[in-house]
Amino acid sequence: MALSLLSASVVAAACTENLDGGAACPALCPEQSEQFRDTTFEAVVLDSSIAGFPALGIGSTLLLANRPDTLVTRVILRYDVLTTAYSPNGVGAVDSITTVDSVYLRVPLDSTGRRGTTPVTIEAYDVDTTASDTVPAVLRSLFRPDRLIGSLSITPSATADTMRIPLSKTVLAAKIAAKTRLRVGLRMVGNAGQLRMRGFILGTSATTLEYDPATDTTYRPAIVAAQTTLPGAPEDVNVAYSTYSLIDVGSPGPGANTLLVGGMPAYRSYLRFNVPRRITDSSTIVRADLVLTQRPSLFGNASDTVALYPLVPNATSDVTDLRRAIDLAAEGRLVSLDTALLVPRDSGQKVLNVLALARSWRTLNTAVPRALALRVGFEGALPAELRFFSSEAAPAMRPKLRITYLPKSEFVLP
Amino acid sequence: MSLHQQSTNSPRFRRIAPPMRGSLLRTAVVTAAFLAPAMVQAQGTLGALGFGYPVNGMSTRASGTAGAFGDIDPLSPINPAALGGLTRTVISAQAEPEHRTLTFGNLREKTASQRIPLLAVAFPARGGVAVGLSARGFLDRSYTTVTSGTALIDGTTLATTERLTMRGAIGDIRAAVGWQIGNRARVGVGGHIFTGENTAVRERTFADTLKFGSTLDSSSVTYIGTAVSVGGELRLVAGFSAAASYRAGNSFEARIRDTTRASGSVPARLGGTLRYDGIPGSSFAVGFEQVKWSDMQSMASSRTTAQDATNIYGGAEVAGPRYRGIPILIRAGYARNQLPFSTTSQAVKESRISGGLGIPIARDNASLDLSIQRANRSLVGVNAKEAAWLFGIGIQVRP
Repeated sequence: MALSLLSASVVAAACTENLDGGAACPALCPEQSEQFRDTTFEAVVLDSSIAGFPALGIGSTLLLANRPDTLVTRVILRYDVLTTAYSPNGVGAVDSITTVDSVYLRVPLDSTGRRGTTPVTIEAYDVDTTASDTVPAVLRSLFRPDRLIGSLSITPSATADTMRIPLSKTVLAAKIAAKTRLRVGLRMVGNAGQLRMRGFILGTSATTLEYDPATDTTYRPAIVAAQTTLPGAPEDVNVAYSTYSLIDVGSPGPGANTLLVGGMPAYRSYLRFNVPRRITDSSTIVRADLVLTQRPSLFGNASDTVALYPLVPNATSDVTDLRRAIDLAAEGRLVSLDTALLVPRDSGQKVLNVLALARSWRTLNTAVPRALALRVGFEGALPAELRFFSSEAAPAMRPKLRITYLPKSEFVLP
Repeated sequence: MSLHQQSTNSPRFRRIAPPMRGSLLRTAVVTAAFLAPAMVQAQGTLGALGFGYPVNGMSTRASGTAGAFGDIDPLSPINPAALGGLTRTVISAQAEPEHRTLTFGNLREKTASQRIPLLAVAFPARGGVAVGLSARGFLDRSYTTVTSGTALIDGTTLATTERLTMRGAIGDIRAAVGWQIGNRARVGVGGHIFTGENTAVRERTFADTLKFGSTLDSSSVTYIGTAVSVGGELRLVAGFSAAASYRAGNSFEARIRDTTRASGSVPARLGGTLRYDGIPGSSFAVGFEQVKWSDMQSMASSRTTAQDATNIYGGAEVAGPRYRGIPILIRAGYARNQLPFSTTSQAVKESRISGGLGIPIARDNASLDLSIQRANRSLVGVNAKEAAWLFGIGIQVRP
């Protein structure tokens, strides 16, 4: 975390105004207006970039990618409870499943995230183990030929909205018979490509395991959603580990003097401001821009447009953990903060409209730091990032607030 | 004023001293709050610059003579001596809407203002003494301006619209005593409290509402000041009498949130009237007043100039046709006034021509006064002219 305390040097200048008036003003309007004032200053007293977003189980999409020079990911799906019985006639007596047929992983896709025009192979591995299975290194070691249980060759750019990956009937039947669990690891091999999978829908894993409980196709398939149970873990952690991804090759960290938003793994950036109370409390702010100096990023889809979403941290200063403060932040759209569209490869000054946020500071509890956090769209499933100079960069590059305000005045006296 | 009242307060000074009617005093609720005007569809005005338009709160009778009878009218709270010799209790209320048309080059803007310029009660005491309590409008400052323009912000010229709404007034609450001395003279003294409030609300909007937020700001000021007035009226030769009054202003403060932000003095005023009523049923008067509005200059910013004013006027009241045996009074008058506040070194000039009627109703127990005034205002150096119609209606009850 980069922490900097900056002296806020305020340079204010009066704007010029020209009031042309209706019939009577300004000749007959002696109550002159205060002039709008512009100020651009280094208001950021604390900024930092924090990794690990979104939290497992929160993101609605996952990226399965094989771009060896840029991004390589894997996806883990856990089916700790398998359907082991069925009703042969749909009703009545229940029989144990002794054989299975048509075993697939049904994977919903977000077609906006597909990339690659040459065929790739999606491989599915049995990654169940008695070792510490939340450790990425342990899981990666299980992607070996003897554990390969299915594969599918596709061309990413030609995929529809669902992908069905066939799995070994023998393996699944054995696990059902043994009443054990199935844990599947997916990876993409062959040519370069990527697919964006839908991770969760309404809090439940979107990827399902489907199989026929008998060889007779008149029976409806059993559909099993991913779910898992970690010893002593709360329910949200269990949901998180039912479907998640591992990153083998990702984006670099923020480095010095840099605020990073997005990337793989995804970062969010937090900026805390110190704005003079004569502006927030004793004036009306009519324009507020956060001016950031962008650094070009070459990671991933550097030429694609990336949506930059503002977040409004509203925890009091009692919450000193910035990660926690960001987790508790509200979406910016709730206070009418708009989304900005930026291109990672660009550089130079970028202006974010934070007018609604700045105007809210007057009534904000004084115990709540005046702050803003930033995230990207498709966070955690977007191979792109935005980099900005932080408050530790050279003065000309630091984040600044540009505010136009109208001081309050007792204009009632003629 | 009805014929009956005119006769009881004529320079022929009949001393009648009915008992004081305290119940009326107790029930008379007279506050400056009643005097605050209500504006409709207003724009900037010539008349209401600075601290506002000098309403002058005269009775409808005096308004019908363009103010010429103000110094000799017991219900116009100007000269306390005019109360002397009052024989009956009088309760008076009136309204005086004003319709203004401001012409600025080729543009014309119309405004309307509703005012209650005067509430008054006067009652006789013993020995030719009468007491009057009144609340009148002093300065009316109510208007709305909508101004379009541009603002240069960070090198970009932006279209803006500003709407300024000003509401409020300063009232003059007076308690006065008049005494008739013999048949030739009356004297009086009064104490004044000048109080009121102005509230300004300013809204500014930008054409680009996505990037720029609007502003809404308000500011209020309250005024408090005091003054003492004295006056006299003397019977001269047959048919002629002269009246004079003087108001000495004390401190006058403008307070914003309990803090005195500006102070000055209540403007001193000197007035004089020569009256002739040698023709039965008729009265004629000419007069002047000088008001030292510059006493308020220290309360204003440099954008407003307060200039001393000299106003002159003449008017007549004659008996017309009878209605149920009592003559209807017909009034007319003319005045040239200087308005106190301006945005330049020049004063706003006003000429006013007036007419009116005094109609008896309920025999001599009540009367209805009507007035109509046409005022024309101009300011040298500003291509603006303002014309106004003021319609007065007053009712007097003499229980």
